[in-house]
Amino acid sequence: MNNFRNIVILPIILIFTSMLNAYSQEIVTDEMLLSAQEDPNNWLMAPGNYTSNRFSKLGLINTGNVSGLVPKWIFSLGTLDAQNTTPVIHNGVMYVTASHGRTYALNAANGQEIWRYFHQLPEGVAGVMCCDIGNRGVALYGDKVYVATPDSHVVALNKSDGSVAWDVTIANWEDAYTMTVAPLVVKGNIIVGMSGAEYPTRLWIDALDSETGEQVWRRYTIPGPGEPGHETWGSARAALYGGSSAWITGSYDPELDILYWGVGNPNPDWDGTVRPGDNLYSNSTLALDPDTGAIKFYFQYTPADVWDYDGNNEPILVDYGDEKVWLHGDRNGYLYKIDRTNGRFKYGKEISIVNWSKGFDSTGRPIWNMDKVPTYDYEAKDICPASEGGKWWNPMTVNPETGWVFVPSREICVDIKSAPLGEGLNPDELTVGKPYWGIGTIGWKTGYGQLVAFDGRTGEKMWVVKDRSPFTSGLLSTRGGLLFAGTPEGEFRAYHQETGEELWSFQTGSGIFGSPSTYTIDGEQFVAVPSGFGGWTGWAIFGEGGAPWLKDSRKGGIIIGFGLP
Amino acid sequence: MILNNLKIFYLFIIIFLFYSLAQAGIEDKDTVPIENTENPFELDEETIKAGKKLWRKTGCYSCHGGNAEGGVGPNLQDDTWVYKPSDAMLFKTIAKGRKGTNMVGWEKELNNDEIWKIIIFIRSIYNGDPQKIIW
Repeated sequence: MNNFRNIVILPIILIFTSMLNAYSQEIVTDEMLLSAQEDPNNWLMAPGNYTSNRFSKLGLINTGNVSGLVPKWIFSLGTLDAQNTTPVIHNGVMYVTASHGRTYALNAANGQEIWRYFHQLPEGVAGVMCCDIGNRGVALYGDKVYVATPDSHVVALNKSDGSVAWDVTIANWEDAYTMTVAPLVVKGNIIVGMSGAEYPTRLWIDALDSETGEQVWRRYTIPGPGEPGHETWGSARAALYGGSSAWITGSYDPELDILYWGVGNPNPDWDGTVRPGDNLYSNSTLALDPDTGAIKFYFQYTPADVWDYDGNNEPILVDYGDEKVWLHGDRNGYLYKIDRTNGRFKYGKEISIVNWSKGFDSTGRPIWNMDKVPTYDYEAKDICPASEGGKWWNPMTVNPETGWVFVPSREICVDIKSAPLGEGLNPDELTVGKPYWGIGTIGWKTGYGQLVAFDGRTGEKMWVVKDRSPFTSGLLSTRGGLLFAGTPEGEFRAYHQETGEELWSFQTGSGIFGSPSTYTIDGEQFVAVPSGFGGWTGWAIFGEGGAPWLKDSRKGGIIIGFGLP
Repeated sequence: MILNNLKIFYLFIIIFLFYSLAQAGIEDKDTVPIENTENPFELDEETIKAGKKLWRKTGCYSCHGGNAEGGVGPNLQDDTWVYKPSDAMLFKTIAKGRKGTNMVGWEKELNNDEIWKIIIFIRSIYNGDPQKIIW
């Protein structure tokens, strides 16, 4: 009997246990997502962790040795166009998207491909995407990888081999409802938001069941008839086509059990005449019940926007002692600190020159400078900042250990005159699936880029680094005292967090419009960054051009894994 | 004799089938019909205006800019072109799109005349080297 146990049963138990162990190592659990900040060896979600601070506790690469950083491997993404992704890493495997929503699993130590998923796109989808056919990354949960595709599908892939577990259609892309967002997993639901506010649309945030893809809830970002806020659009038609996209991944506070998600510009972008009112909830951060999608409260950065200050940008959750806030760098030029328990305004500080507003009232509502308000009859000149900010969509980073926030920024201004349908750039009539910007004339003024560091507690500006071009990458800060940033000219750089001193730079060959992440394998720290010029770059060349030297910039499509020699 | 006639008949059928297949191969769907290789419209104010209107209606500006100065898509004013900007190439690109790029085909929305008018608008804003004008 003992022999039978030793020879047959024990090996079976051992094999079963090792299989279970191997399987469990491939699983991404709620607990792992909740403690992602404490697990610097992995990078488990596009924003790094639920606070979206894009800070790593790794310090193997630090201010003392970063000058020796070298590329360890390069992976071709196989597509050109905007490479907007953030690489996500679990157990030595990198899950990364390319433009067009292609998805790869790589060996994160050497860049070798493990599997690929090419979502077959319908012909014509690029023709209804205002700003290129980029994708911002994947989410991991359980044994699946989740990706949102340009044609508004959300696809669950089996993490082991990239095979499709389910594929659901969220919207009709032909009506310009498209997707570029990196999903976020909260309490077993896949949270995604829509793109398309340069077209007559009414957009939303969805929660999907991670097992089946079935919709759990939908939160329209524009209130429907009878709902509070509907009246802020002036007419039912304006509300029905008011855009208000949600394409930047949100943040989650598990203690408060609140999901924070940004909402973008109203449509038409630059014409407020056809939508008189505050246009809720455009240009806001919504505080949502993650179980139902109900709005608990919100903060609106730019009511009645006529500058396309598309307020999608990420809210970063920070605790300053007992003070629970979110920090938000807006395209309207201000860095905001907002109480995340109730949505109350704490401060708004200038990231870049701001002249469209003369400051705030006590609630944080901006006070307009009427000289900078474009109308059908008036071309507002030298509006600062231009529509991309301030701070564009590329995520900033917060070091929670110092409380400092680092913002990718620019000093570029713009002339704008709005126009009704049939004039300027507008079509003669509003047509679903066709762009509608409300623009008469628009011309960007040549400017420059800057990185700006603030003490997030007070909003005091600590240092500014200027550069010829705007900083167009997301940022990464680490316990090693480093700040990583990329430029549209292809430079990937490391700066000293305390001083802004440039410590290292590498030319990646094409512009950087995605975000870096960091992780370890066998005790070695890597920093990975996508490179590939693209996205909305009209700001660089329309009119005088915000950065005319970027005209005809070379496209690309690679991920580089950097490490120490 | 009947057998021979049948053989000839079958041979004829086979030759006919091969010929049909060959023709189908030649008539690639991306081939520009012969009548669409030369713009039938003149570079006059009325056509330019009509072309610009179609430029707005179709939303060309969202990628190429209000005056085709470039953006997500390439600048069309200058003389930096991947392919020689002949009438036939422009027509084909607008009608069919360009594989491997974000340029999609618009032939379902624009008829031939409308495409030619848009091409007239593009020609009207050319500011490149006059020596490189090839239309």
